[in-house]
Amino acid sequence: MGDHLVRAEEFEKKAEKKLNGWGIFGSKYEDAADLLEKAANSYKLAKSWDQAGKAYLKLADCHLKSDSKHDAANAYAEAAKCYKKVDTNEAASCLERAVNIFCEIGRLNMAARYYKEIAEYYESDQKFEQAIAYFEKAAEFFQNEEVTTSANQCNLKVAQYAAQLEQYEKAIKIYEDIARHSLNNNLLKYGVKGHLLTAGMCHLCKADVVSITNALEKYQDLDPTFTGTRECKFLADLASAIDEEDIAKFTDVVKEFDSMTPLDSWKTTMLLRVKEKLKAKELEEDDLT
Amino acid sequence: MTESSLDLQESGWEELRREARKIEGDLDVKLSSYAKLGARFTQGDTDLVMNYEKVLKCVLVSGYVDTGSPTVGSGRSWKSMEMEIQSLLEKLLDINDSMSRCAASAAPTTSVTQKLARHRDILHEYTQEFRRIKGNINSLREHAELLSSVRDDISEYKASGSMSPGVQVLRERASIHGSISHIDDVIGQAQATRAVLGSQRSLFSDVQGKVKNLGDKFPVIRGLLGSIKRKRSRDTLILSAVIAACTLFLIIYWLSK
Repeated sequence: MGDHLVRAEEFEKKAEKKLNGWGIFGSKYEDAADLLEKAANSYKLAKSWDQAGKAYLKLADCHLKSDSKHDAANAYAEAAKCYKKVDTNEAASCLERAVNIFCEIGRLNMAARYYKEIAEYYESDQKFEQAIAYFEKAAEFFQNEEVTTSANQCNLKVAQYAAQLEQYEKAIKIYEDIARHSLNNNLLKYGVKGHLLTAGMCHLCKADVVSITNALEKYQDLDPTFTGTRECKFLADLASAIDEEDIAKFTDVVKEFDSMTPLDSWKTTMLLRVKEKLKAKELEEDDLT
Repeated sequence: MTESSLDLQESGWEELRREARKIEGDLDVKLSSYAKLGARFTQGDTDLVMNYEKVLKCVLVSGYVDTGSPTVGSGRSWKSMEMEIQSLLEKLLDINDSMSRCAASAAPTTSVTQKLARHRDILHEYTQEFRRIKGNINSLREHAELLSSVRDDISEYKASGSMSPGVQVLRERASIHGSISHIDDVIGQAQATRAVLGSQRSLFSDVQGKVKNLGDKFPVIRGLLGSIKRKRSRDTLILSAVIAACTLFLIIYWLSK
Protein backbone atom coordinates (compact mmCIF):
# COMPACT_ATOMS: atom_id res chain seq x y z
CA MET A 1 0.00 0.00 0.00
CA GLY A 2 2.78 2.46 0.88
CA ASP A 3 4.78 1.19 -2.08
CA HIS A 4 1.89 1.99 -4.41
CA LEU A 5 1.63 5.48 -2.98
CA VAL A 6 5.34 6.19 -3.43
CA ARG A 7 5.28 4.85 -6.98
CA ALA A 8 2.20 6.94 -7.76
CA GLU A 9 3.89 10.10 -6.54
CA GLU A 10 6.97 9.31 -8.64
CA PHE A 11 4.86 8.88 -11.77
CA GLU A 12 3.07 12.12 -11.05
CA LYS A 13 6.36 14.00 -10.68
CA LYS A 14 7.61 12.58 -13.96
CA ALA A 15 4.40 13.66 -15.66
CA GLU A 16 4.73 17.19 -14.26
CA LYS A 17 8.32 17.35 -15.50
CA LYS A 18 7.22 16.15 -18.92
CA LEU A 19 4.48 18.74 -19.09
CA ASN A 20 6.80 21.56 -18.07
CA GLY A 21 9.45 20.45 -20.54
CA TRP A 22 9.62 21.02 -24.30
CA GLY A 23 8.69 18.14 -26.57
CA ILE A 24 10.82 17.64 -29.66
CA PHE A 25 9.40 14.51 -31.23
CA GLY A 26 5.82 13.45 -30.65
CA SER A 27 3.51 15.14 -28.20
CA LYS A 28 4.40 15.84 -24.60
CA TYR A 29 0.73 15.54 -23.72
CA GLU A 30 0.58 11.94 -24.87
CA ASP A 31 3.63 10.98 -22.83
CA ALA A 32 2.31 12.83 -19.80
CA ALA A 33 -1.03 11.08 -20.28
CA ASP A 34 0.65 7.67 -20.10
CA LEU A 35 2.47 8.60 -16.91
CA LEU A 36 -0.64 10.12 -15.33
CA GLU A 37 -2.62 7.00 -16.09
CA LYS A 38 -0.01 4.90 -14.30
CA ALA A 39 -0.04 7.34 -11.38
CA ALA A 40 -3.82 7.20 -11.12
CA ASN A 41 -3.74 3.40 -11.17
CA SER A 42 -1.23 3.37 -8.34
CA TYR A 43 -3.32 5.79 -6.31
CA LYS A 44 -6.30 3.49 -6.76
CA LEU A 45 -4.24 0.54 -5.56
CA ALA A 46 -3.24 2.60 -2.53
CA LYS A 47 -6.93 3.44 -1.94
CA SER A 48 -6.23 7.18 -2.08
CA TRP A 49 -9.44 7.97 -3.91
CA ASP A 50 -9.12 11.73 -3.68
CA GLN A 51 -5.68 11.82 -5.25
CA ALA A 52 -6.66 9.25 -7.86
CA GLY A 53 -9.55 11.48 -8.87
CA LYS A 54 -7.24 14.48 -9.20
CA ALA A 55 -4.82 12.44 -11.31
CA TYR A 56 -7.63 11.39 -13.63
CA LEU A 57 -8.72 15.02 -13.98
CA LYS A 58 -5.19 15.94 -15.05
CA LEU A 59 -5.24 13.01 -17.46
CA ALA A 60 -8.47 14.31 -18.97
CA ASP A 61 -6.86 17.74 -19.44
CA CYS A 62 -3.94 16.13 -21.29
CA HIS A 63 -6.27 14.21 -23.57
CA LEU A 64 -8.29 17.35 -24.30
CA LYS A 65 -5.13 19.24 -25.25
CA SER A 66 -4.09 16.48 -27.65
CA ASP A 67 -7.63 16.37 -29.10
CA SER A 68 -8.53 12.88 -27.89
CA LYS A 69 -12.06 13.66 -26.80
CA HIS A 70 -13.17 10.09 -26.29
CA ASP A 71 -10.22 9.34 -24.02
CA ALA A 72 -10.86 12.54 -22.08
CA ALA A 73 -14.46 11.53 -21.49
CA ASN A 74 -13.37 8.11 -20.30
CA ALA A 75 -10.87 9.74 -17.94
CA TYR A 76 -13.64 11.91 -16.50
CA ALA A 77 -15.76 8.80 -16.00
CA GLU A 78 -12.91 7.09 -14.14
CA ALA A 79 -12.46 10.21 -11.99
CA ALA A 80 -16.15 10.06 -11.12
CA LYS A 81 -15.77 6.44 -10.03
CA CYS A 82 -12.98 7.47 -7.65
CA TYR A 83 -14.76 10.51 -6.30
CA LYS A 84 -17.94 8.51 -5.76
CA LYS A 85 -16.36 7.03 -2.66
CA VAL A 86 -15.54 10.38 -1.06
CA ASP A 87 -17.62 13.18 -2.60
CA THR A 88 -20.80 12.64 -4.57
CA ASN A 89 -21.09 16.21 -5.85
CA GLU A 90 -17.60 16.09 -7.33
CA ALA A 91 -18.39 12.73 -8.95
CA ALA A 92 -21.54 14.17 -10.50
CA SER A 93 -19.67 17.18 -11.89
CA CYS A 94 -17.03 14.89 -13.45
CA LEU A 95 -19.70 12.80 -15.11
CA GLU A 96 -21.36 15.98 -16.33
CA ARG A 97 -18.14 16.98 -18.09
CA ALA A 98 -17.94 13.50 -19.62
CA VAL A 99 -21.53 13.87 -20.82
CA ASN A 100 -20.73 17.22 -22.45
CA ILE A 101 -17.86 15.66 -24.37
CA PHE A 102 -19.95 12.69 -25.49
CA CYS A 103 -22.61 15.10 -26.74
CA GLU A 104 -19.97 16.97 -28.76
CA ILE A 105 -18.74 13.82 -30.49
CA GLY A 106 -22.27 12.51 -31.05
CA ARG A 107 -22.25 9.56 -28.66
CA LEU A 108 -25.70 10.14 -27.22
CA ASN A 109 -25.98 6.57 -26.00
CA MET A 110 -23.04 6.99 -23.66
CA ALA A 111 -24.28 10.43 -22.60
CA ALA A 112 -27.64 8.95 -21.63
CA ARG A 113 -25.97 6.17 -19.66
CA TYR A 114 -23.87 8.64 -17.70
CA TYR A 115 -26.86 10.89 -17.02
CA LYS A 116 -28.55 7.85 -15.53
CA GLU A 117 -25.47 7.18 -13.43
CA ILE A 118 -25.48 10.76 -12.10
CA ALA A 119 -29.13 10.34 -11.21
CA GLU A 120 -28.34 7.13 -9.34
CA TYR A 121 -25.63 8.94 -7.35
CA TYR A 122 -28.12 11.55 -6.23
CA GLU A 123 -30.71 8.86 -5.57
CA SER A 124 -28.39 7.03 -3.19
CA ASP A 125 -27.70 10.36 -1.47
CA GLN A 126 -31.48 10.88 -1.24
CA LYS A 127 -31.45 14.18 -3.16
CA PHE A 128 -34.61 13.47 -5.07
CA GLU A 129 -35.10 16.76 -6.93
CA GLN A 130 -31.72 16.43 -8.60
CA ALA A 131 -32.26 12.73 -9.21
CA ILE A 132 -35.54 13.53 -10.99
CA ALA A 133 -33.87 16.15 -13.19
CA TYR A 134 -31.11 13.80 -14.31
CA PHE A 135 -33.41 10.82 -14.79
CA GLU A 136 -35.50 13.04 -17.07
CA LYS A 137 -32.45 13.98 -19.13
CA ALA A 138 -31.39 10.34 -19.36
CA ALA A 139 -34.87 9.27 -20.46
CA GLU A 140 -34.93 11.98 -23.13
CA PHE A 141 -31.56 10.90 -24.55
CA PHE A 142 -32.51 7.22 -24.50
CA GLN A 143 -35.70 8.10 -26.34
CA ASN A 144 -33.70 10.02 -28.94
CA GLU A 145 -31.62 6.90 -29.56
CA GLU A 146 -34.74 4.67 -29.66
CA VAL A 147 -33.70 2.67 -26.59
CA THR A 148 -37.22 2.52 -25.26
CA THR A 149 -36.69 0.04 -22.43
CA SER A 150 -34.07 2.15 -20.68
CA ALA A 151 -36.10 5.30 -21.29
CA ASN A 152 -39.10 3.71 -19.61
CA GLN A 153 -37.02 2.60 -16.65
CA CYS A 154 -35.80 6.16 -16.14
CA ASN A 155 -39.31 7.52 -16.57
CA LEU A 156 -40.63 5.13 -13.93
CA LYS A 157 -37.99 6.42 -11.53
CA VAL A 158 -39.01 10.00 -12.31
CA ALA A 159 -42.65 9.18 -11.64
CA GLN A 160 -41.87 7.38 -8.39
CA TYR A 161 -39.88 10.26 -6.93
CA ALA A 162 -42.24 12.89 -8.31
CA ALA A 163 -45.10 11.21 -6.45
CA GLN A 164 -42.96 11.06 -3.34
CA LEU A 165 -42.46 14.83 -3.63
CA GLU A 166 -46.24 15.29 -4.13
CA GLN A 167 -46.02 16.18 -7.84
CA TYR A 168 -48.93 13.91 -8.63
CA GLU A 169 -49.92 15.28 -12.04
CA LYS A 170 -46.46 14.61 -13.44
CA ALA A 171 -46.37 11.10 -12.01
CA ILE A 172 -49.85 10.28 -13.32
CA LYS A 173 -48.98 11.40 -16.84
CA ILE A 174 -45.82 9.28 -16.91
CA TYR A 175 -47.52 6.17 -15.59
CA GLU A 176 -50.37 6.49 -18.08
CA ASP A 177 -47.98 7.03 -20.99
CA ILE A 178 -45.96 3.96 -20.05
CA ALA A 179 -49.11 1.89 -19.63
CA ARG A 180 -50.38 2.99 -23.04
CA HIS A 181 -47.05 2.14 -24.63
CA SER A 182 -46.85 -1.22 -22.86
CA LEU A 183 -50.22 -2.33 -24.22
CA ASN A 184 -48.69 -2.68 -27.69
CA ASN A 185 -45.96 -5.03 -26.49
CA ASN A 186 -46.78 -8.67 -25.83
CA LEU A 187 -44.11 -9.02 -23.19
CA LEU A 188 -44.90 -5.83 -21.28
CA LYS A 189 -48.68 -5.84 -21.33
CA TYR A 190 -48.96 -8.01 -18.23
CA GLY A 191 -47.40 -5.20 -16.22
CA VAL A 192 -49.96 -2.64 -17.36
CA LYS A 193 -52.28 -3.17 -14.42
CA GLY A 194 -49.41 -2.39 -12.08
CA HIS A 195 -48.82 0.95 -13.78
CA LEU A 196 -52.53 1.73 -13.78
CA LEU A 197 -52.73 0.87 -10.08
CA THR A 198 -49.94 3.27 -9.22
CA ALA A 199 -51.47 5.98 -11.41
CA GLY A 200 -54.79 5.46 -9.65
CA MET A 201 -53.14 5.75 -6.27
CA CYS A 202 -51.66 9.08 -7.34
CA HIS A 203 -55.18 10.22 -8.21
CA LEU A 204 -56.30 9.12 -4.74
CA CYS A 205 -53.55 11.18 -3.15
CA LYS A 206 -54.98 14.26 -4.84
CA ALA A 207 -58.15 13.64 -2.77
CA ASP A 208 -60.43 14.25 -5.73
CA VAL A 209 -63.15 11.61 -6.09
CA VAL A 210 -64.29 12.89 -9.49
CA SER A 211 -60.83 12.55 -10.97
CA ILE A 212 -60.37 9.01 -9.68
CA THR A 213 -63.77 8.00 -11.07
CA ASN A 214 -62.96 9.49 -14.47
CA ALA A 215 -59.55 7.87 -14.38
CA LEU A 216 -61.02 4.44 -13.67
CA GLU A 217 -63.39 4.79 -16.62
CA LYS A 218 -60.49 5.85 -18.83
CA TYR A 219 -58.37 2.92 -17.71
CA GLN A 220 -61.16 0.46 -18.42
CA ASP A 221 -61.47 1.91 -21.93
CA LEU A 222 -57.72 1.72 -22.36
CA ASP A 223 -57.37 -1.89 -21.22
CA PRO A 224 -60.57 -3.99 -21.26
CA THR A 225 -58.95 -6.69 -19.12
CA PHE A 226 -58.38 -4.18 -16.32
CA THR A 227 -62.05 -4.28 -15.37
CA GLY A 228 -61.93 -7.71 -13.79
CA THR A 229 -58.65 -7.37 -11.95
CA ARG A 230 -58.16 -7.02 -8.22
CA GLU A 231 -56.35 -3.74 -8.80
CA CYS A 232 -59.41 -2.17 -10.39
CA LYS A 233 -61.65 -3.42 -7.60
CA PHE A 234 -59.17 -2.12 -5.04
CA LEU A 235 -59.16 1.36 -6.55
CA ALA A 236 -62.94 1.44 -6.90
CA ASP A 237 -63.43 0.37 -3.28
CA LEU A 238 -60.94 2.96 -2.08
CA ALA A 239 -62.69 5.63 -4.12
CA SER A 240 -66.05 4.77 -2.60
CA ALA A 241 -64.56 4.68 0.91
CA ILE A 242 -63.12 8.15 0.34
CA ASP A 243 -66.42 9.36 -1.07
CA GLU A 244 -68.25 8.13 2.04
CA GLU A 245 -65.37 9.34 4.26
CA ASP A 246 -65.31 5.97 5.99
CA ILE A 247 -61.89 5.23 7.49
CA ALA A 248 -62.93 1.78 8.71
CA LYS A 249 -63.95 0.71 5.22
CA PHE A 250 -60.73 2.19 3.83
CA THR A 251 -58.67 0.19 6.30
CA ASP A 252 -60.61 -3.00 5.57
CA VAL A 253 -60.04 -2.65 1.83
CA VAL A 254 -56.32 -2.01 2.27
CA LYS A 255 -55.96 -4.89 4.70
CA GLU A 256 -57.68 -7.31 2.37
CA PHE A 257 -55.55 -6.24 -0.59
CA ASP A 258 -52.40 -6.42 1.51
CA SER A 259 -53.23 -9.94 2.69
CA MET A 260 -52.92 -11.23 -0.88
CA THR A 261 -50.43 -8.81 -2.45
CA PRO A 262 -48.14 -7.25 0.16
CA LEU A 263 -47.75 -3.51 -0.40
CA ASP A 264 -44.26 -2.18 -0.94
CA SER A 265 -43.00 0.83 0.98
CA TRP A 266 -43.88 3.33 -1.75
CA LYS A 267 -47.51 2.20 -1.88
CA THR A 268 -47.64 2.17 1.92
CA THR A 269 -46.49 5.78 2.03
CA MET A 270 -49.04 6.87 -0.56
CA LEU A 271 -51.96 5.12 1.11
CA LEU A 272 -50.93 6.48 4.49
CA ARG A 273 -51.15 10.00 3.07
CA VAL A 274 -54.68 9.34 1.83
CA LYS A 275 -55.70 7.94 5.19
CA GLU A 276 -54.28 10.90 7.08
CA LYS A 277 -56.22 13.29 4.85
CA LEU A 278 -59.38 11.34 5.63
CA LYS A 279 -58.65 11.56 9.35
CA ALA A 280 -58.04 15.29 9.12
CA LYS A 281 -61.34 15.80 7.31
CA GLU A 282 -63.18 13.73 9.90
CA LEU A 283 -61.65 15.75 12.72
CA GLU A 284 -62.78 18.94 11.03
CA GLU A 285 -66.33 17.67 10.86
CA ASP A 286 -66.19 16.59 14.48
CA ASP A 287 -65.08 20.08 15.44
CA LEU A 288 -67.93 21.57 13.45
CA THR A 289 -70.48 19.36 15.18
CA MET B 1 9.98 27.44 17.27
CA THR B 2 9.40 24.76 14.63
CA GLU B 3 9.77 22.00 17.18
CA SER B 4 7.13 23.52 19.45
CA SER B 5 4.70 24.01 16.55
CA LEU B 6 5.27 20.45 15.38
CA ASP B 7 4.72 19.24 18.92
CA LEU B 8 1.44 21.17 19.09
CA GLN B 9 0.26 19.70 15.82
CA GLU B 10 1.22 16.24 16.95
CA SER B 11 -0.72 16.54 20.21
CA GLY B 12 -3.72 18.04 18.39
CA TRP B 13 -3.68 15.21 15.88
CA GLU B 14 -3.50 12.54 18.58
CA GLU B 15 -6.30 14.14 20.57
CA LEU B 16 -8.53 14.39 17.49
CA ARG B 17 -7.81 10.80 16.60
CA ARG B 18 -8.60 9.59 20.10
CA GLU B 19 -11.90 11.46 20.05
CA ALA B 20 -12.73 10.05 16.62
CA ARG B 21 -12.10 6.51 17.84
CA LYS B 22 -14.30 7.08 20.90
CA ILE B 23 -17.17 8.35 18.74
CA GLU B 24 -16.75 5.41 16.38
CA GLY B 25 -17.10 3.03 19.31
CA ASP B 26 -20.23 4.84 20.49
CA LEU B 27 -21.68 4.75 16.99
CA ASP B 28 -21.08 1.02 16.73
CA VAL B 29 -22.93 0.34 19.98
CA LYS B 30 -25.82 2.66 19.13
CA LEU B 31 -26.22 1.27 15.62
CA SER B 32 -26.46 -2.24 17.05
CA SER B 33 -29.17 -1.27 19.52
CA TYR B 34 -30.93 0.73 16.78
CA ALA B 35 -30.99 -2.37 14.59
CA LYS B 36 -32.37 -4.42 17.47
CA LEU B 37 -35.00 -1.75 18.00
CA GLY B 38 -35.94 -2.08 14.35
CA ALA B 39 -36.23 -5.84 14.75
CA ARG B 40 -38.41 -5.36 17.81
CA PHE B 41 -40.53 -2.89 15.84
CA THR B 42 -41.37 -5.73 13.49
CA GLN B 43 -43.08 -7.38 16.42
CA GLY B 44 -44.26 -3.91 17.37
CA ASP B 45 -46.59 -4.38 14.44
CA THR B 46 -48.42 -6.93 16.54
CA ASP B 47 -47.80 -4.97 19.71
CA LEU B 48 -49.49 -1.97 18.16
CA VAL B 49 -52.67 -3.89 17.43
CA MET B 50 -52.60 -5.59 20.84
CA ASN B 51 -52.04 -2.23 22.44
CA TYR B 52 -55.11 -0.83 20.74
CA GLU B 53 -57.14 -3.83 21.80
CA LYS B 54 -55.95 -3.41 25.35
CA VAL B 55 -56.98 0.24 25.40
CA LEU B 56 -60.34 -0.59 23.87
CA LYS B 57 -61.08 -3.30 26.41
CA CYS B 58 -60.24 -0.88 29.20
CA VAL B 59 -62.56 1.70 27.68
CA LEU B 60 -65.40 -0.75 27.18
CA VAL B 61 -65.16 -2.61 30.45
CA SER B 62 -64.32 0.28 32.74
CA GLY B 63 -64.29 4.04 32.38
CA TYR B 64 -60.65 5.01 32.51
CA VAL B 65 -57.94 4.88 29.83
CA ASP B 66 -54.63 3.26 30.65
CA THR B 67 -51.79 5.59 29.68
CA GLY B 68 -48.10 4.84 29.34
CA SER B 69 -48.39 2.17 26.70
CA PRO B 70 -45.24 0.32 25.62
CA THR B 71 -45.60 1.06 21.92
CA VAL B 72 -45.62 4.80 22.41
CA GLY B 73 -42.59 4.46 24.64
CA SER B 74 -40.93 2.34 22.01
CA GLY B 75 -41.68 5.00 19.41
CA ARG B 76 -40.30 7.74 21.59
CA SER B 77 -37.04 5.93 22.32
CA TRP B 78 -36.74 5.07 18.65
CA LYS B 79 -37.03 8.74 17.67
CA SER B 80 -34.56 9.94 20.29
CA MET B 81 -32.06 7.24 19.36
CA GLU B 82 -32.29 8.24 15.71
CA MET B 83 -31.52 11.85 16.61
CA GLU B 84 -28.62 10.75 18.79
CA ILE B 85 -27.06 8.73 15.99
CA GLN B 86 -27.58 11.60 13.55
CA SER B 87 -25.78 14.05 15.82
CA LEU B 88 -22.95 11.58 16.44
CA LEU B 89 -22.46 11.14 12.69
CA GLU B 90 -22.31 14.91 12.20
CA LYS B 91 -19.79 15.24 15.01
CA LEU B 92 -17.65 12.49 13.51
CA LEU B 93 -17.77 14.24 10.14
CA ASP B 94 -16.54 17.46 11.77
CA ILE B 95 -13.71 15.62 13.49
CA ASN B 96 -12.68 13.98 10.22
CA ASP B 97 -12.56 17.41 8.58
CA SER B 98 -10.45 18.74 11.46
CA MET B 99 -8.09 15.79 11.12
CA SER B 100 -7.78 16.43 7.39
CA ARG B 101 -6.90 20.06 7.99
CA CYS B 102 -4.45 19.13 10.75
CA ALA B 103 -2.74 16.58 8.52
CA ALA B 104 -2.61 19.02 5.59
CA SER B 105 -0.99 21.74 7.71
CA ALA B 106 1.71 19.34 8.92
CA ALA B 107 3.87 17.35 6.53
CA PRO B 108 1.66 14.38 5.59
CA THR B 109 3.34 11.03 5.99
CA THR B 110 2.11 7.76 4.55
CA SER B 111 0.78 6.38 7.82
CA VAL B 112 -1.18 9.57 8.50
CA THR B 113 -2.76 9.42 5.06
CA GLN B 114 -3.70 5.78 5.54
CA LYS B 115 -5.26 6.49 8.91
CA LEU B 116 -7.26 9.35 7.41
CA ALA B 117 -8.53 7.09 4.63
CA ARG B 118 -9.45 4.45 7.18
CA HIS B 119 -11.46 6.90 9.28
CA ARG B 120 -13.23 8.20 6.21
CA ASP B 121 -14.19 4.68 5.17
CA ILE B 122 -15.58 3.97 8.62
CA LEU B 123 -17.69 7.14 8.54
CA HIS B 124 -19.03 6.25 5.10
CA GLU B 125 -19.93 2.73 6.19
CA TYR B 126 -21.74 3.89 9.32
CA THR B 127 -23.67 6.51 7.36
CA GLN B 128 -24.85 3.92 4.85
CA GLU B 129 -25.89 1.50 7.57
CA PHE B 130 -27.77 4.17 9.50
CA ARG B 131 -29.63 5.20 6.36
CA ARG B 132 -30.61 1.63 5.58
CA ILE B 133 -31.90 0.88 9.07
CA LYS B 134 -33.79 4.17 9.16
CA GLY B 135 -35.50 3.32 5.87
CA ASN B 136 -36.48 -0.10 7.17
CA ILE B 137 -37.95 1.28 10.38
CA ASN B 138 -39.86 3.99 8.53
CA SER B 139 -41.44 1.56 6.11
CA LEU B 140 -42.42 -0.84 8.89
CA ARG B 141 -43.94 1.95 10.95
CA GLU B 142 -45.92 3.28 7.98
CA HIS B 143 -47.17 -0.21 7.23
CA ALA B 144 -48.38 -0.72 10.78
CA GLU B 145 -50.02 2.69 10.89
CA LEU B 146 -51.79 2.11 7.58
CA LEU B 147 -53.31 -1.26 8.44
CA SER B 148 -54.70 -0.45 11.86
CA SER B 149 -57.49 1.79 13.09
CA VAL B 150 -59.37 2.16 16.35
CA ARG B 151 -62.85 1.84 14.86
CA ASP B 152 -61.91 -1.27 12.98
CA ASP B 153 -60.87 -2.92 16.23
CA ILE B 154 -64.08 -1.80 17.91
CA SER B 155 -66.19 -3.35 15.18
CA GLU B 156 -64.08 -6.49 15.26
CA TYR B 157 -64.48 -6.69 19.01
CA LYS B 158 -68.25 -6.37 18.76
CA ALA B 159 -68.60 -8.80 15.87
CA SER B 160 -66.08 -11.32 17.14
CA GLY B 161 -68.78 -13.76 18.24
CA SER B 162 -71.04 -13.55 15.21
CA MET B 163 -69.00 -14.70 12.22
CA SER B 164 -71.34 -16.23 9.67
CA PRO B 165 -70.12 -19.08 7.41
CA GLY B 166 -71.38 -17.28 4.29
CA VAL B 167 -68.71 -14.62 4.66
CA GLN B 168 -66.04 -17.28 4.97
CA VAL B 169 -67.23 -19.03 1.83
CA LEU B 170 -67.23 -15.75 -0.10
CA ARG B 171 -63.73 -14.95 1.09
CA GLU B 172 -62.50 -18.38 0.04
CA ARG B 173 -64.12 -17.97 -3.37
CA ALA B 174 -62.40 -14.61 -3.83
CA SER B 175 -59.10 -16.19 -2.86
CA ILE B 176 -59.53 -19.02 -5.38
CA HIS B 177 -60.47 -16.53 -8.07
CA GLY B 178 -57.36 -14.53 -7.28
CA SER B 179 -55.21 -17.63 -7.55
CA ILE B 180 -56.71 -18.51 -10.92
CA SER B 181 -56.02 -14.99 -12.17
CA HIS B 182 -52.44 -15.23 -11.01
CA ILE B 183 -52.01 -18.57 -12.78
CA ASP B 184 -53.38 -17.07 -16.00
CA ASP B 185 -50.94 -14.18 -15.70
CA VAL B 186 -47.98 -16.48 -15.19
CA ILE B 187 -48.93 -18.70 -18.15
CA GLY B 188 -49.33 -15.64 -20.35
CA GLN B 189 -45.93 -14.34 -19.33
CA ALA B 190 -44.35 -17.72 -20.01
CA GLN B 191 -45.87 -17.88 -23.49
CA ALA B 192 -44.68 -14.37 -24.33
CA THR B 193 -41.20 -15.20 -23.05
CA ARG B 194 -41.11 -18.34 -25.20
CA ALA B 195 -42.05 -16.32 -28.29
CA VAL B 196 -39.33 -13.77 -27.58
CA LEU B 197 -36.75 -16.49 -27.03
CA GLY B 198 -37.70 -18.07 -30.35
CA SER B 199 -37.19 -14.80 -32.17
CA GLN B 200 -33.90 -14.37 -30.32
CA ARG B 201 -32.70 -17.75 -31.59
CA SER B 202 -33.48 -16.83 -35.17
CA LEU B 203 -31.60 -13.59 -34.63
CA PHE B 204 -28.57 -15.52 -33.41
CA SER B 205 -28.74 -17.73 -36.50
CA ASP B 206 -28.59 -14.62 -38.66
CA VAL B 207 -25.66 -13.35 -36.64
CA GLN B 208 -23.86 -16.65 -37.14
CA GLY B 209 -24.26 -16.31 -40.90
CA LYS B 210 -22.93 -12.77 -40.77
CA VAL B 211 -19.94 -13.81 -38.69
CA LYS B 212 -19.07 -16.49 -41.26
CA ASN B 213 -19.21 -13.87 -44.00
CA LEU B 214 -16.97 -11.67 -41.91
CA GLY B 215 -14.51 -14.53 -41.47
CA ASP B 216 -14.35 -14.95 -45.22
CA LYS B 217 -13.28 -11.35 -45.47
CA PHE B 218 -10.47 -11.72 -42.97
CA PRO B 219 -7.76 -12.46 -45.60
CA VAL B 220 -8.63 -9.14 -47.22
CA ILE B 221 -8.25 -7.42 -43.88
CA ARG B 222 -4.95 -9.19 -43.26
CA GLY B 223 -3.65 -8.02 -46.62
CA LEU B 224 -4.78 -4.51 -45.84
CA LEU B 225 -2.97 -4.56 -42.53
CA GLY B 226 0.16 -5.85 -44.23
CA SER B 227 0.12 -3.06 -46.78
CA ILE B 228 -0.41 -0.49 -44.03
CA LYS B 229 2.58 -1.89 -42.18
CA ARG B 230 4.77 -1.78 -45.28
CA LYS B 231 3.73 1.79 -46.02
CA ARG B 232 4.50 2.84 -42.48
CA SER B 233 7.95 1.23 -42.53
CA ARG B 234 8.61 2.92 -45.88
CA ASP B 235 7.69 6.28 -44.32
CA THR B 236 10.07 5.58 -41.47
CA LEU B 237 12.88 4.74 -43.88
CA ILE B 238 12.30 7.91 -45.88
CA LEU B 239 12.34 10.04 -42.76
CA SER B 240 15.55 8.40 -41.54
CA ALA B 241 17.23 8.95 -44.88
CA VAL B 242 16.27 12.64 -44.93
CA ILE B 243 17.58 13.18 -41.41
CA ALA B 244 20.83 11.38 -42.18
CA ALA B 245 21.32 13.41 -45.34
CA CYS B 246 20.79 16.71 -43.51
CA THR B 247 23.14 15.73 -40.72
CA LEU B 248 25.82 14.67 -43.19
CA PHE B 249 25.43 17.92 -45.09
CA LEU B 250 25.82 19.93 -41.87
CA ILE B 251 28.98 18.04 -40.92
CA ILE B 252 30.56 18.51 -44.35
CA TYR B 253 29.71 22.22 -44.38
CA TRP B 254 31.22 22.68 -40.94
CA LEU B 255 34.40 20.85 -41.90
CA SER B 256 34.79 22.80 -45.15
CA LYS B 257 34.29 26.10 -43.27
